[in-house]
Amino acid sequence: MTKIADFVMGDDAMFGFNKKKKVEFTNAKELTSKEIENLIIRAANLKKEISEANADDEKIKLYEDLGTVYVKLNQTDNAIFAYEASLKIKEQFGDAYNVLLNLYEEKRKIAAVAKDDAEIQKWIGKTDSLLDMSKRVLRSNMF
Amino acid sequence: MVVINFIIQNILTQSAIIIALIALLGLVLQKKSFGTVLTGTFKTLLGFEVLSAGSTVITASLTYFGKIFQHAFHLNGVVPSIEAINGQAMNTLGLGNEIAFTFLGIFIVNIIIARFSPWKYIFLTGQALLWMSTMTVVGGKICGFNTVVTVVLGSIIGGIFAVAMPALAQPFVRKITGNDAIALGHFCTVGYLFEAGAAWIFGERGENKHSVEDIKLPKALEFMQDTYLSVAVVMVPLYLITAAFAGPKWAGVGTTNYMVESFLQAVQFVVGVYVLLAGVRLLLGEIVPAFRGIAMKLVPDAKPALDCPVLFPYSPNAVILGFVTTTIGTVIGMFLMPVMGLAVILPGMLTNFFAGGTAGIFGNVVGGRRGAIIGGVLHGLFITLLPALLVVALQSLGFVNASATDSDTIVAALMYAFIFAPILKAI
Repeated sequence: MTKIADFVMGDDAMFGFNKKKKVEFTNAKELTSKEIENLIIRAANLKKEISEANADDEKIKLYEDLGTVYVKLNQTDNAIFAYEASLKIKEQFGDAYNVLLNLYEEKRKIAAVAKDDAEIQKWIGKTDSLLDMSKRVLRSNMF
Repeated sequence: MVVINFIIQNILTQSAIIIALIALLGLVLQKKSFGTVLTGTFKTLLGFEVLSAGSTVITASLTYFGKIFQHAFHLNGVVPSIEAINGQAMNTLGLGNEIAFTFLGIFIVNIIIARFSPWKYIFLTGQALLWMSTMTVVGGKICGFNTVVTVVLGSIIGGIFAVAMPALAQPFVRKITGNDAIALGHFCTVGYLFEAGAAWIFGERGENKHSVEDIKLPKALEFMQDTYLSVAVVMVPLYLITAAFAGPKWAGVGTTNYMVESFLQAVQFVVGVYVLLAGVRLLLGEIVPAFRGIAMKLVPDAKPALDCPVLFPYSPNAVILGFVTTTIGTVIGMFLMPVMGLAVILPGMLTNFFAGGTAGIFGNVVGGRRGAIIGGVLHGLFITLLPALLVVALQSLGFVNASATDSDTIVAALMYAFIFAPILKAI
């Protein structure tokens, strides 16, 4: 491949970018049964804490923690539900936006492979909603 | 035969119907219900008519502004607005058919490239594709191509841009988002790369690089909360100042006071943009989901290229700084262009916000604070120079007091004007 193609396709060395520093978005490593069990218990505890929490900030934090647990458990639908619940309480930039953008794309790819048009539209539509939210949040942060 | 002739001469020459038929095709290909096909097709038709109505309002306002600017400053004052260019091209210049077919062609070429090459980008920002098809058709007309050549060449060039621009931006997008899942689909990428380059030359590096995100910016840009308010905030003073210099003889209409008239004309411009964009949303509301569904099925491993707000959450301070510095650059550019013998390009707030803001993220990620600031001002100058270079070609086609904004679409049109047209002349 030519140098230009390398640059476009993935060589991030120019501008001082280091590809190796890429953020690991999903936890790809195999979990032991003990780790899975602990995560399931952690999710149950978080759900209980959410039902008892009163303050919005606390709920947002708990939903995001729950989303992280579900991502580790590879339970994408549950993770999406948790992160969406966090954004429903308060639209803001942060983990919920970043992770949802990737989870929607994962779901869109699965739908595309299955050639399921309704699902493709659903996940692209959700991504569009995230972009709208991005505009709203940025503008509301400007004063 | 009479019926066929009637259809060809009276129906298929109507841009609104052609665009509606393209939407119908997309909906039928998706095996939608009869009711959905019918309503979707009609909404598209309606969208075109709303867009045209908005364009008429904008053109009337721009004609007034052009007249008073000429008499006030003895210069050619041009408003950078891709919406106005699209509206005039579709409506006044009768290029709607070519634009509709090119829009479809860009989709097809994009899918073919993504399907059969390693570049898997599918451009999902429908509005930007409409602007690109407009500008490639305008390019075709600059060269004097016939309809078929205009559409085929426009589709190929637009399709290549739809893949190449997200691909060129991707190394930066990876750095900004921290992963490779999504791409940037916004036809201002040449400007973003320009700012990245400037930030690399003039910005901070290594340990000295400090992100804009580490500082607290003042929050005093309330007017930017509303798209149309942000347009009005610039257009109203521009019209008023120009009218004050032009005087009542040129700026007044009938018995209305000339300052009041200029204020109302500025408001008319904002109304025109509002109506036109509502039309664009209606027009694309059915076509885009239909075709992106098809694209995703044909290229399941596609990398979706999304609109610029996708990057805002990763670097919100850089967006604000990018907007401010780009605006400074465009104001400097406004005074600089006539010195260079070019038309006065007035600052365009929508572009400054979306393109300037996104460019700020690129400047920050490459050159930190200093990179974002210097790169932003240079970006403002760059996006003022590009439409200025295009003005003569646009006015020769009959466009009224407007030039394009999104840098990639201008580069595409400039390719026609500065490369294809001279080659054709030489042959």
